[in-house]
Amino acid sequence: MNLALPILVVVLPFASAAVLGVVASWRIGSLINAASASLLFLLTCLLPGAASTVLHVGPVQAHLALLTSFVAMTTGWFGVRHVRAALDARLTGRRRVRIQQVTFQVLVGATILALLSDSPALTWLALAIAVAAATSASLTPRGAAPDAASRLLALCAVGLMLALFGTLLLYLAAEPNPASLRWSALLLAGSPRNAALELACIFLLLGYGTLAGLVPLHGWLPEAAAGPAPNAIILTSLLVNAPLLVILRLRGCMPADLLLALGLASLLLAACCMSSRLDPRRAVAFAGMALVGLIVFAFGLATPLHALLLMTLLPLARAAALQCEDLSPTRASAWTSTACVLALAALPPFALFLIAGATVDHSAWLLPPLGIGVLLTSWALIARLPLSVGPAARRDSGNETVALAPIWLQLAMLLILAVAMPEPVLDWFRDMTISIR
Amino acid sequence: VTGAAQLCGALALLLSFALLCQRRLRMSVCLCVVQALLVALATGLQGTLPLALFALLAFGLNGLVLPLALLRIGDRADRQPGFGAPALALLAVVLVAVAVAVAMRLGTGTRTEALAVALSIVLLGLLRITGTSALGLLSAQNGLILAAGAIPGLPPLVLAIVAVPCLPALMVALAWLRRFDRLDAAPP
Repeated sequence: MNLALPILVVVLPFASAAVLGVVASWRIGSLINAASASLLFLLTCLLPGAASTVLHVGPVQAHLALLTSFVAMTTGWFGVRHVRAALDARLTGRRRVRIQQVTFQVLVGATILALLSDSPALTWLALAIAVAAATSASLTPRGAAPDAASRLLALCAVGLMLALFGTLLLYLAAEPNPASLRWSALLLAGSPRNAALELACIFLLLGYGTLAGLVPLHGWLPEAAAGPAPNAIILTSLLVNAPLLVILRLRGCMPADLLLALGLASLLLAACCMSSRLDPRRAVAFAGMALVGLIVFAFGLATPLHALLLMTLLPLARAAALQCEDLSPTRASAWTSTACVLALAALPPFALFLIAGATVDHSAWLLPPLGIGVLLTSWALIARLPLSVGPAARRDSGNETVALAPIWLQLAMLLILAVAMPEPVLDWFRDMTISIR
Repeated sequence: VTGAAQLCGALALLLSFALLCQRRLRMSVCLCVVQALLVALATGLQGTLPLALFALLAFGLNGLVLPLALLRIGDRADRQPGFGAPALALLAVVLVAVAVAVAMRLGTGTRTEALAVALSIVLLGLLRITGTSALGLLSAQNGLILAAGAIPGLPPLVLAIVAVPCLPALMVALAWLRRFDRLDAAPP
């Protein structure tokens, strides 16, 4: 059982995608979607300590898989309401809904596979599957959609091609026995450096950096955020953790200055792109990009504990902010949306607070641009604040409290992790940091 | 045999430049097919059976199925990139120089040369994406096939991933959908 568990966790979303492809009713489909995501969360709760021959379940991988399935679960519940609202407003058709539900499960499965896989080639394959699913999900019935989808695919494909070249170089670096290359072995070997490994790391940083939303090729991120909501949440908040994990694993071989420069450039560019005229989803996407920049900056400063904490907080805040869509305009939902935007706006200063000391140790000159980027991002979010919540109420808001529950659950976790940080949780994070050192 | 493989690689790189300047779809697809053939020859000539099978599979998918599908779809959405031909050629030369400089860090020898050529083809293919995305991706995939052929002892999973061009196939599928869309939008 213990050996089969990780494989079960990976297979479950793909299996439910297959089931969803057959089920005709959108009502049953969205229930299956939510139920499967909840079951996945229960299974991943058992994951810490599990062993596997094919996959590698270290503390970090188990933690990120747990996070992924948790957000997937709340998004699944959100999806039930969202699909009903979208169908009522005739924003989408039933066939579209079915495609979106299938791609949602495929995205979740691909993300977990990319996190848990022990072989670099399998990680690449999982991310390619995710990009394929994202592309087919962002095809909306008519109009400019194929152009948006092909822009998304073209940028992600450039990143994936560079990453595949980097992966090939990684196999070249494992010269005497390339067939035995494993992420976990790469970590343990204390990295006997050679030129091929360093070169591979640069290509992987550029390639997977694209998928994480780093600077040279970040243009796909707003496109993806504007796609259908449940898929956009998985794509922009959870999928980025998989490429970030690769960068985290290899950060020892990457030039620290390049990491710092890419992180800072992403932060500043995202801060400049945020304007109050942006629609809310794109604003959330750019805020997330700024935070990913801060995370990569933290990688460059070699403070993995802070980076891991931010990698945990970012998906929670991003998903909660995106789940505030199409709530009916009640007082409670207005408060919820405000709380989500405030949480997202509080994250960059929080990150700055975490890494300021290490930044000054590295070079005090980095602090002013970092501060400017953080201030601009937070200010742009707070400036949107008197929020109007959606169009007129579409239905009786009797089950509104139920709809708000998952969002508040995520905000509560955010608060516990960022402010309270109880001792067991801190130990959990310390264990992770030790395991990747 | 090594000399022949090197010659094939060099010719493939030359075709990358030709592809960059070529704007007509039929001609570009022909160039892509020939490039795939040269890359398959350069990989297959190395003599081991798995590599020969890999080259055959890669040529079948990347050199025949996808280009013919693209030709059949007739994706005419070929945009001029934002800069003219001289700037494009200059950029291409710079990219090749970067690729060679990067590969030279791995040492010297035939493998390094093959990797330098492969990286150049990948980068030029990615540059071609600014025009027709599907063709650029096909060409970049050719470069990856060449790189995989130059690295000994790759596990079968990696060879399969490189041989099956999933990203170019997706791009061709999108081009097909876009034609569908245009038929929808066309006035009766």
